[in-house]
Amino acid sequence: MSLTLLDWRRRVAALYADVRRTSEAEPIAALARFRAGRDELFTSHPDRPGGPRPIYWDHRPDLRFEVDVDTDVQPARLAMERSDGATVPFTRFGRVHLPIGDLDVYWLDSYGGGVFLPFRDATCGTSSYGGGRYLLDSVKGADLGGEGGRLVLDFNYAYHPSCFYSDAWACPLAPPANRLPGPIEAGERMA
Amino acid sequence: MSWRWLDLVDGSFRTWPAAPERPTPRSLRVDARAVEPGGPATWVSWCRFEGEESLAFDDGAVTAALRRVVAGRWPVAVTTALVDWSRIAGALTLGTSRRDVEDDPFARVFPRTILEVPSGSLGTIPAPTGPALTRYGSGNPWPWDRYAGQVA
Repeated sequence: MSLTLLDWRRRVAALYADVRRTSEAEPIAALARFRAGRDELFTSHPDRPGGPRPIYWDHRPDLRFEVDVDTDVQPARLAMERSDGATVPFTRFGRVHLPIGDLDVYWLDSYGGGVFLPFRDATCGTSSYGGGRYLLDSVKGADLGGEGGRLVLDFNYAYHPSCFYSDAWACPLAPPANRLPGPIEAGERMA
Repeated sequence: MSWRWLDLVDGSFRTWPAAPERPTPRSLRVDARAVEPGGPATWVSWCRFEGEESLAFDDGAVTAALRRVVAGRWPVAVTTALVDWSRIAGALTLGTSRRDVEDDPFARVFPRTILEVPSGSLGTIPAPTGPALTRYGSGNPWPWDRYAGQVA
C-alpha cells in the first residue's frame, strides 16, 4: 500500500528476529527490547493503528513453551469473511499440546501463506480484548521461532489484533478449538 | 448454519423455520443456534424496535454495538434480529445471570426488555471467530460464523 507500511513491516520483522535470536538466553531483556520497539512504533510510526498505547502484564517465564506440532489432525479448511465480502482461507495443519491447554495451528491459505495462531482465554472481555489475542501470525512477522518442526509459543508476546485498536480493521478471531480455559496473564493486556 | 424466525408472543418466545414470508407481523430472523433448546441461559435481553422501524445492516450504531459485544465478555449467545436481507430491527442476548445481559450494547440502539426464561429453553452460540461486521445481502443474522466451520 505504501512505503511507510513497508517500513512498519520491516521494523516489526526486525523486532521478532531479535526475539528469535535472544529470548531463550536473555528472556527479560529480549522482552523489554521488544516492548520498547513496539511502543515506539505505536507512538510515532505513521502507520500505527491508533487507539490506546499497548500495556502489558509482567514477564511470566512459566508461559514460554517450545513444543512439537502434532500434525495427526484432520485438515480443516476454514474461511473468515472480510468486510468486502471476500473470504480469507485458513487450513488447520496441526495442534499443540500445552500444560495450559491445546491449541490448533493454522496455515494462511492465500498468497505467501504463513502460520497463524489466535487464542482466547479467561481474561477475554475483562483484562484483555474480548475477541482474543494473537501469538503467531508469520505473514505479518509475528514468528517466535522454533527448530526441527517445533514452535516457540511464548505468551509473553501475545498481542491484541488490530481490530482492538481501530474500527478500520476486520480481524480473524480465535475459533472454538483455541479457547484456553484459564486466564493467561501474560503479554498484552487492557487497562 | 441456519436462521429461524423469532417473535415474543404473550411473553414467551416462539420460533418458526426459515421461510420467505414472516410468520407473524413482528417476527425477526435470528441465528438458529440461539433458539435451539438445551442451552444454559436463564436471562434474556430482547432488544427490538416497538413498531416497524429498522436500521440498515451497517448503520453506525449497529456496527458500534457489534464491536462492543466482541470487545466484552461473551455471554451464552448473541444474535442480531433481521427484518429481511438488509435491515436490522433488534438483537437477542442470552446469559446465565441478569448481569450477563444488563450491559447488552444493543440496548443503546433498540428499546430493550429483560426476561427470565427456564434453563434449557434457548441455545448457545460460541464467541464469533470472524470480525464484528455484517455484510450486505447476506440475509443472515450476525454472528453467522463461517470461520468456525469447515468449508471444504
